Amino acid sequence: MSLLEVTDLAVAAGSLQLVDGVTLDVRPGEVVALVGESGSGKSLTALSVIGLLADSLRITRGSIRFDGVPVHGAGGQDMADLRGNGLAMIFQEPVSSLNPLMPIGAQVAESLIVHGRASAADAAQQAVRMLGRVGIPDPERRAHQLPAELSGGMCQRVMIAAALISRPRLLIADEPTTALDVTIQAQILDLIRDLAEEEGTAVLMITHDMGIVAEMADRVCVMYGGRVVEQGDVHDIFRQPRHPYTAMLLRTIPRLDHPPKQELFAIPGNVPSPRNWPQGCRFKTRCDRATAQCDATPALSEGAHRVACFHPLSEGMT
Amino acid sequence: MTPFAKAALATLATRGVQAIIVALIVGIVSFAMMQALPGDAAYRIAAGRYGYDMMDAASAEAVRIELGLDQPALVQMWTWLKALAQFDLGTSAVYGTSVAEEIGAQLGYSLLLAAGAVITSLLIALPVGIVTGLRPGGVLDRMTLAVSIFLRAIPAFALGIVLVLVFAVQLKLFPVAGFKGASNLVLPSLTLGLGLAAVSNRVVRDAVAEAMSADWRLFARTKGLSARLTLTRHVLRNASVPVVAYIGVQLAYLIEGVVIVESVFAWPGIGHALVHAIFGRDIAMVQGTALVLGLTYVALNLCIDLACRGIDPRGRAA
Ligand SMILES: Nc1ncnc2c1ncn2[C@@H]1O[C@H](COP(=O)(O)OP(=O)(O)OP(=O)(O)O)[C@@H](O)[C@H]1O
Ligand SMILES: [Mg+2]
Repeated sequence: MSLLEVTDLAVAAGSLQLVDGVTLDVRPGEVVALVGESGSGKSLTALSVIGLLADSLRITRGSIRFDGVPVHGAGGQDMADLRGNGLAMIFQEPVSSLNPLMPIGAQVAESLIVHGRASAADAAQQAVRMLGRVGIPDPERRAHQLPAELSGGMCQRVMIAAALISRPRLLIADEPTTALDVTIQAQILDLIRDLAEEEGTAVLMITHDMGIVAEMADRVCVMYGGRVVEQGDVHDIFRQPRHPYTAMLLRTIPRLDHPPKQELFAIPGNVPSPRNWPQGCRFKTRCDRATAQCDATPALSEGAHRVACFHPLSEGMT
Repeated sequence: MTPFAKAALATLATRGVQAIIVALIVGIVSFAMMQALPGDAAYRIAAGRYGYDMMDAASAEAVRIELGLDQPALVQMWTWLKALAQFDLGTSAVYGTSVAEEIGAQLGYSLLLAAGAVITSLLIALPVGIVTGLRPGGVLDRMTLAVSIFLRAIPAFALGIVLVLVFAVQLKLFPVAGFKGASNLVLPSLTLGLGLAAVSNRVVRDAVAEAMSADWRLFARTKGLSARLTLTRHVLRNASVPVVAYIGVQLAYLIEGVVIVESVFAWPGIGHALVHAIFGRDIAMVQGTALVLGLTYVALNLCIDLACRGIDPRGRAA
């Protein structure tokens, strides 16, 4: 059974649809990558799952189930029980995501304390141990330091510690390495993968970097214009992308076996903003396979490798 | 020595030096000011002592000789500074009483009024600022902005007179002036407190709004803290740093306001005494009260510094 099951999720700001039909699932212990260009609705999907959308945003359609239990619409108390317990999240900006006035040890211990899972002293000890596990040197001393005394990469490790100390079943990581140096990125990704594997934590990894997808993910979910356009096993999708958008995304990965001077591929055109989404298939304005049929909205197909396209690519076409 | 104690000591030393500089400047400026006032000081002082109808040129001359007003200004200045170095503020030119004793009796009243004003301003600014900061741009936010701008435009003495007319003369809720009991404290405190709150409620509002939209607040929420707990554990504490620092900024307005409001309400404080002494050309009193006001300013600033260090741990280690 799926750990997380999102079905036809739609999020709107007033009358403006920002997420418009997201369907995805995450099974226990697996890493699912949620990919798509900026503005495709990845963060809003994640915030819907964890129940922390901004006040100006509303879930207008769809269902979210965690462990088979519907969470969207459930009382705020249930959601708070799940957060920092079964479900945790980390963000893109590690430095600004930590309270500048609170020692990092206290921030790591916090979820244990608010859920009454440990006494203050016990939680502080566990926090020090957790800081050690995420690779903070001299955690005993560092636990008393403030975020400003740590580098960005160290702050991301602290955030990971704060998220994983509650041993969640699902970790949502919203572009956890985008703000970091390239050299640090790989270390942080390894850390997330290793800890998740040890604890059996499932990860919903949000990224727009197909390289990270290839490194980390078991399955991929591709979003475009507030919808899921393709979803499936990472090997299947890399071997044979079916949606033209996915195919273009894959061509943006720099590859070692390509001649070094060759220019990197960029997807033609711009991502339309939610205000300017076209009727029907949202990718049709940038797609070389679009026909009149694409003025209707393609449904996401059933099965293990799902695609929402009237003219999907098939074997041998890319 | 702990880093905190070390930093506190450094603050103390800086403020100590500042106090000495303030003493020198206040002494010189107030002396120069008194010299520049039109009319003959000896005449005014004699009039103050004996009454306008009881004095003549001879008594004025006697006063001039007695107080050394016939000596060059620089010599008089030097005499005052020399006495000050021995912590001697001299005697009132008009009443012959010790300036230090007079001020000792008045300072308590002024501090009482200042405390009343600050407490009143916080009682208004904190709830208003927190509520509007939680909903920036809302109806209440725009309403309080309008009221704040309006209140800021009214000078303290005018506001005081309006409050007296409404609450003392018309409604007879509080006494008009003087000091007989706690009820006398209400209107002068309200006059000053409203003036302070007109600005500081916006500072509170901005601080709360900024903390509410901070990344670290959202991350705290993902750990399972309820909205209320996030507010009390994180938002209010962080927001209090700029708020307390701003009280320091308001000290100049506060001291100036105390002088004005004391005169409006015939409050037996040091500001009232200062104004009275200026009119009576009581040079020693003017210099003494101005000096104590200046030193109070430095001392209060020191308290704010220490309070800021107490709430904001950043920079303690440095
Ligand atoms: N509070 C909000 N009010 C109105 N529009 C919003 C709000 N938050 C996000 N949006 C809009 O919703 C769309 C989707 O936003 P989202 O943050 O989910 O994108 P994303 O896929 O995470 O992109 P990125 O890669 O830049 O993080 C964007 O066009 C964004 O401008
Ligand atoms: Mg995002």
